[in-house]
Formats: sequence, structure tokens, C-alpha cells
Amino acid sequence: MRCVIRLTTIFFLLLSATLLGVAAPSPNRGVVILFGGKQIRLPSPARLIDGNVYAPIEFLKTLGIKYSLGKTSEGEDKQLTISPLHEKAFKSAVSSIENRDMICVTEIAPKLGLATSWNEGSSTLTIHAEVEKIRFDGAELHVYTSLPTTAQILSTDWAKKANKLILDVANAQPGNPRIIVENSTSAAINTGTQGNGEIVRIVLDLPASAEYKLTSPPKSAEIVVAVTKLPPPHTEHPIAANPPVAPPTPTFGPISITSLDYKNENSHHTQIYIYASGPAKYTTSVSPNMELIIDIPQATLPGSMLGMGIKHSLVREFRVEQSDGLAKAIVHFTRPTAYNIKWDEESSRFVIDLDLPKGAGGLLSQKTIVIDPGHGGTYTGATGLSGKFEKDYNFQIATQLKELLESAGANVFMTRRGDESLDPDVKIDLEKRVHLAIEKSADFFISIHCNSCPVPGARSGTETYYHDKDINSQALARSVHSHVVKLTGLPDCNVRPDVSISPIGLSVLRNSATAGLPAMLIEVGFINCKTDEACIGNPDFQKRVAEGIVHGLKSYVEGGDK
Amino acid sequence: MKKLLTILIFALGIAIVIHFIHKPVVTPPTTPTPTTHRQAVKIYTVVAKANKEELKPIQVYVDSGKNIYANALSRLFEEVNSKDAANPIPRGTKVLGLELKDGLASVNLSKEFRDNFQGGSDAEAMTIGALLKTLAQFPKIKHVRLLVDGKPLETLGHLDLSEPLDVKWTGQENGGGN
Repeated sequence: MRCVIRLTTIFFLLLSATLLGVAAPSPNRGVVILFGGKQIRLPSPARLIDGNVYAPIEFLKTLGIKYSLGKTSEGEDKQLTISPLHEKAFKSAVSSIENRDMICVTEIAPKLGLATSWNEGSSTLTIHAEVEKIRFDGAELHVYTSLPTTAQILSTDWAKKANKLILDVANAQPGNPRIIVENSTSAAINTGTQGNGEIVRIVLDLPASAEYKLTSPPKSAEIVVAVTKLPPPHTEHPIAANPPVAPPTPTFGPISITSLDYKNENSHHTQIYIYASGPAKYTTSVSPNMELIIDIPQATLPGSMLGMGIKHSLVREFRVEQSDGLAKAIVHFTRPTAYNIKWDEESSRFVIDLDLPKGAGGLLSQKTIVIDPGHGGTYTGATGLSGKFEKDYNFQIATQLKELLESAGANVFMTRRGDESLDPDVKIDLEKRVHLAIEKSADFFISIHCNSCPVPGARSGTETYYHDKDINSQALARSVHSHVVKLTGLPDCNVRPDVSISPIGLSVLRNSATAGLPAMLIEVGFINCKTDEACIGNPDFQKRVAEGIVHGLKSYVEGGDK
Repeated sequence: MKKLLTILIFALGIAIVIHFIHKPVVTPPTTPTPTTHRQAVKIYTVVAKANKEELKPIQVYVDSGKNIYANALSRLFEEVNSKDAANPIPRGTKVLGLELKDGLASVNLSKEFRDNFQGGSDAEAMTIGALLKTLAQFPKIKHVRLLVDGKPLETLGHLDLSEPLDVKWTGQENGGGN
């Protein structure tokens, strides 16, 4: 009993401390206001006062909202008349803080139809536009947002073929939009969110094949897409013209590395610079402990150069090493990170771009994942030594993965619900799988396969593929692959771009990349290898594969090792 | 004597008439039926060792006549079909035709190529790789488009084949690992 009383006391002490902390913020704390990932420029800083954010009235102008300051007699509070873009004007009080006319942002945001989120740690208020109304009149799609924002049409061949118009509205949240469809009996509109809930995806199902084009200005609170009907498409498949011949590859001589530098763009993006006397044909690899290793041949480092301290949330350490004629640059990541390296001729330097990968941030439980059990129905996939089919193994693993992800709170869809094919044409079957992910506004597409090789028993182990140079999918594939291999113990046959086994890649991965969807395809093991097939058919092993995928996804989304 | 002379002149006359009516049958010089020229080409088949599979060339001889490209592919299909193991080409596949235009080889294959393919993505990569590598040895061929029964083949289940494939693509090497 005494113990309970003591615990209760501690609890109340803690609670009051927390409440005091909230009630008494450091006076007039500076606040950063973000819209569209960028800080809003203000003539003087916004302030946090008594739990409310105040900003200079010019704040409205930068967002594209009109207002007028009413005349008042001496001593009276000033009155501001604010005209929201699609609603009636309203009045708001103006406070004079630090000799400036300020408005209470947190108070007027709901009246303006803005969604806000507060980050206590960084004293940041993020503003999103809300989609207020979507109207399709048979010829034009109008999307009304509470703030002028940008939008783009996701243009893919198969979206066109399936008569879908997919529009991504940036820096927005879905709100609770009114959806109006006129002059069309069979058009339908669905919405979902993308990225970290910062993009609203609008999918318009059209009754027939159509051409569409954004006709509103690049930044607008009324986004307009003109839709023109097309005659039915030709069934003939034209053979595409020859791709242009690549220019000859230049030859590289010895170079010397002169200095290092970096620049943090924001908490999601940083650039590392390696200044050198000339370009080089470098190679890269990523170790399982998340070290990006760049090998620069015929390069010399100054004897004193060891690396540099980088203060950025994505970088644990940056160092350089000389081994014989080779210079090594090593970036140790803190979490799965998207990277891109290029030579900047103008500044004579290598530029390493590091980004928080797409779909990362937030929690796994907030994400939508489409699981694709490979093949199905008449498409059996490979045949195991036992005579069992790949399609069935894929489905068993996918089902275990679905259960684990759902118990972690994620939103999960499967491309097939049983032993079925999605289309009699295998090309369309593959397209429909990715299509589902786009319709569901999925954050990730995870395709599950088992491998086979021409010589039975010749190969063993796990391989994971991503599309060509898709840096987000690469980070996803690496994260998932390393966790799966760690848990299953099958030989590690590496993470590879799909173009290493095929001139233009794997169909589902290429289609996902076109749609900007982080995607990967895991070949769990070889079913025409006796030891691999024995594992793959075992439910405990299947569970470990599923757990590895969940750990990899969690690490990608939430950071850290798991 | 006079009688004999008359007969001779008469016979000569008939001979002359016959000569002008009938053209002489000229037997043409016997050109030997074109002895099939055999040319050495490389065909690529799968070689496996230590958790690794590679496409390695074998030198064979094929007719250099009508369509050496199609002949080389047919020879590849025969080679791999005659063996049980290491067969990257779906069983029973025939080359129905191969047209080369502006560096693009349109390879028309029989439906067995699509219908008898059963394998994982590595197997599919080897199938396509064996075709491309075999065709890459001919300098005139820059790109390859696959057709089955005259219709474009878009995929066998994994690889995207919906565009002309560059024969110079060199990513083909399966296996390895740590």
C-alpha cells in the first residue's frame, strides 16, 4: 500500500512538472514557420507566447492571403479583415508585440482552413493547405485548396490506359473535401495521402480514354486540369525507335584531392563536397552497417586529411582513407539514407547528396504498404525441386508479412488474395499490381519472389532488387535486405539494381519508379536448390523472412537499427 | 552418183532448216550448287561454379547463307535443348524469323519461348542474356526486340522487355555474394 502511495506521489510530481513546463514556456520564444518544406520569410521572427504562435501580419501575404488593416481611433485595438481564398472574410484582433503588428497564427489557422502541426523540440510550426473541394464537370477537374500550392499529374502509360487521372497536390492535407461530379455518370474521385502525409493524391476514374493537362498557374489555390476525350487507342504495339547511342566514355588520369566541405540544406538534406583536381571513375558500395564507401582510383589525399566533422542528423561520421593509389571516402549514416554522387565540373568537386529517403519519417503504423506475392493462378513462377510452385511459397510469406505489418498498425493491401492471376496478359498482370499501389496511395511496394537458376542447385541465397538509379528504392532495398539476411542466415547474394540482370529492368520495379513509389523485389532463395527450398517451405523460416522485412521497413521509416 | 548427190544436198537442206528452227540446246556450265559456307560463331550457354552462374561462349559453325543471325540463334536453341541441365532457353523454342533494320533486330520466336518459360528472375535474366550475347557478336546488330508469333513480347514474368534491348548492355553476371 505504501508503495502505491509513493508511486502516486511520484506520478503527480512528474505530472505537475510537465504541466508547469507547458504553462511556462521561455518567454517570447522564437518560432520557425514552415510551408512546403521551406521557412516562411518574415520581417521579424514569429513568437511563441502562452502556447500560441504569433507572427507579423505580413505572414498572410507570403501565403497568398489578402487582408486589410482597419482604421481605429487612438487606444483601441487594431482590427484586421482577412479574406480567405474560398470563404467569407472575417475579422481578427491584432496584437502589438515588440512594436510590430502580429496575429495569432494558431487561432486564425482553422478559420483559414489551414492544417498546422507543432514540433516542440525544434519550435517549428508546419502549415499545410487543406483540400476543400474537388469538382469534375466532365471537361475540367478543379481542386480548391485553402492556400495556393503546387500540383503535378502523375503521368504513366498504364494510368492512361486504365483511364485514370492521378493528381498529386503538394504541401496539402486531405481535410474533408466536398467531392462533386457533374455531367458524368461513371467518373469517380478518390483521395489519399502520400509522402509524410504532405501530398494529397487525387485519383479520377474516367469513363473513357482521355488526354489531360494542367492549365492553372504553377502555384494556385484552384488547380485546374483540362480533360479531353480521345478516340479509342490503336491495339497495335508500335516498335519504339532506336534509343540514341551513348557518347564515348572519357578517360581519367591521376587526380589529387584538395579539400573537404559540406552544407546542410535542412534537416532532411545535406551535401558533402570533395574538392579534387579533376574527375575520376569512382565506384560505390554500402556496407550492412550503413557505411557508404566511395572508392576513387588514382587519387591522392593530402597526408593530413582524415575527414571532417559533419553536424547533420543523417551523418554519424565522415572520414577519408588512402590505400595505395586509391582514395576512400566513407560516410557512416545514422539511418537508411538516399544518396547520389556527381562530379561538379564548374567547382571541380564531387558532390554527395544525402537525403532522408521518400516515405521515411513518422511511424511505420502511419504507412500504407502494398505487398505483392509474385505470380499466381496460371502463372506458377519457378518450380521447386519438390515440384511445388513458387507462387505458393510467395503467397505464404506474403501472408505472414501482412499479419506482422497489420499487428504493427500499418495499412496493408495485397495485390492478390489467393491463387489467382490478375490478367490473362502477363504484362497487364504485372501492371495491375503496381497500379493498385498507386490507387491506394501506398508508401511502399514490396514484391515477394523466390528465385531459380538454369542449373538446378547451382545457386543459393537471398537477392534484393531495386530499379536502376532510384535512390529511394535502393535505400529501402538495402534496409530490408540486410535485416532479412541477418534473421534467416541464408547466403547474402547482395542488393542489386534490376538493370544488372536486364537491360531495362524488372517490370514491377520500373513501373513503380515511374510513379515515384519506393519499391523493392526480394528473391528470398532458390527453390531449385535443395537447402534453400527446405527453408522456404518452412513456416518458421517464412516468419523470419517476414520479420526481417518488417524490421527493415521500420528502420527505413523510423530510423535506427530496427 | 547424181542420185547420191541429190540426197546429200537434200539432207544438208533439211539439216540447215532444222538448225534454224531449233535453237541448239546449250547445256549451261555446271556451277556447283552453292556449297553452304560455314562460319564460326559464338553461342552463349550457362556455366555454373561456386554459387555463381555465367554465360560463356562456345564456338560452333553455322550456315553463313540466308540469315546468319537466325542461324546462330537456332544453333543456340539446338545446343541447349540437347542437354537436360543448364538450359536457359525454354524447351522447344524455334526461330521463326529475324529481320534487321537500322541496327534493330526483330527476333520472331515460336510460342514455346513464352509458354514453356518457367523460372525465377535469375533464370529469366539468363534466358534473355543468352539471346542478347549471342546476337551482340554481330556488329550490325545494335538493339533487339523480341516477338512471339509476330507479336511484341513484353515480359516473361519479371524482366521488362517492352523496349528495344541494347545488345551492348553488359550487366549480365549472376551470383557471387558474400
